[in-house]
Amino acid sequence: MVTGTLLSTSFLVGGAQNSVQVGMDRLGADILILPQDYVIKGQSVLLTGKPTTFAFQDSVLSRVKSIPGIAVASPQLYIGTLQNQGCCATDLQLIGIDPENDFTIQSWLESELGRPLGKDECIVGFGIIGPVGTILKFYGHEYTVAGRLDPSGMGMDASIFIRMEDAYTMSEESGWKAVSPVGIREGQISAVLVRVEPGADKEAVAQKIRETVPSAYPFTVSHVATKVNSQLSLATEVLTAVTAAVTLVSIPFIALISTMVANERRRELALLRAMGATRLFIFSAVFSESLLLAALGGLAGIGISGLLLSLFEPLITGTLQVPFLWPSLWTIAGDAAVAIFLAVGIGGAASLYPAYRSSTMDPYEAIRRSEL
Amino acid sequence: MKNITPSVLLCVLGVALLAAPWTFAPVCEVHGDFVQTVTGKQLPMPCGYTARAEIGVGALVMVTGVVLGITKSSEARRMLGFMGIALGALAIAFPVSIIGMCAKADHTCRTMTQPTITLISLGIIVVAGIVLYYHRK
Repeated sequence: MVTGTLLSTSFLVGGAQNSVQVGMDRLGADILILPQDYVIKGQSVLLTGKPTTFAFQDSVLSRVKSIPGIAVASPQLYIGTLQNQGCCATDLQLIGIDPENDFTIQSWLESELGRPLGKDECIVGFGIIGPVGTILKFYGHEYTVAGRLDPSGMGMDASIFIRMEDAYTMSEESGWKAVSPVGIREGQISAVLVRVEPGADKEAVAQKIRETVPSAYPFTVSHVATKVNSQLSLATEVLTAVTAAVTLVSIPFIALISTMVANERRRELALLRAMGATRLFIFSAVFSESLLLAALGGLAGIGISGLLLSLFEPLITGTLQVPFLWPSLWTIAGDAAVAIFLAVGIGGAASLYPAYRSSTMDPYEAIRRSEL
Repeated sequence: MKNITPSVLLCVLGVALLAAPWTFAPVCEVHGDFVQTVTGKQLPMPCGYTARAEIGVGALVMVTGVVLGITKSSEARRMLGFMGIALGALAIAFPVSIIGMCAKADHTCRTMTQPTITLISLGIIVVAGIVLYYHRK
């Protein structure tokens, strides 16, 4: 229990922090600009890929590009698909990108695909099943899967990237091809991803954007990391409290079991003493058994919690609404080692008194009492 | 007296396997989500077909448990152990590769149903493996 809860806590916190780190690096932006009225929905697209459709009501890209300190500004268009598509029961997030200015998946396209995204092609996030070449149909428009992104643990894992041109065509055709239209006009965008010039103050640039484009809400990527940490803090506090409680309860419990085991073996231990075994030998025999049992229990706890975490990780992180990416093998191994060390420490501490009592008992008295 | 624990465990795990996708670890169609064709007809998602297949596998696991409880031959019990392991592997393979689940990673069929089926199936494999071990030649 102790090792299981300890490993779960460090696994979840480490996974969320790893995800934010990898996700933000992959996003490649310093500042994200969303419409004032859609900040929460926009952040949900970024963090969890929760599908939504929205757009700025006015043209913001040209005004953003004119602000000093901005190196690159790349527009994105967010379109939530309809429910009950052929592939999936629920809706998906389509992200329209401008291939000329995009820096979110551009480096991936160059290294993995070796060419720009073609007409009616799409790149799917890691969490979307389906091999390359699969045809996906959204709002009556067909797209061919050209590749799959590496896991990021964030919203892009549950998103599908298409060219903005194709998104506008799909929106126009949706009026007669789909059950309901997309409702996005050509030229509209949902977000602008910004890279600031080297050495520029990101917060100052964000403030300048706020002043220049009042309908926009710019925020730095560090703001997103802070938001994730605050979402995690409650879960972390609860798990830490559970770990502390389990640890505290387990010490007297293990001490009781060690005492019972020592009492059960009182006769054998007394015979060993009568045959010449030293007190130190008896003490170390009882103490080592407890350490061994604690280590085996710790390993079992790690095995069971590891199995449950690996199976139900999407459910847990989905319920907590935090992004998640598996920590590195070394991190997990380090956490497991700490958990086993703690379990062995608790087992050892709890068995000190029973081991001391066993080593100091009078052999004649112990044998006589065992035979009563 | 014969130990009936593995037999009872296999029966319980068989019931859990056939019931899970429709009750405590539901697939998408339990929430009312279906594929809608252009003619308006509603068809089950891939996870719905997997759930139907698991009914058959769960029933077979139950039968294996019942037969294990009434048979006396050590060789027959060994064969039932083999069958239990094969059924457990088949139960894992249906959502993973044979039929599959929905495409999106955050669907309940992938966050809840698939891991639950895997967990129950691992339980079936472990119990059947123990039966096989105790009735080895």
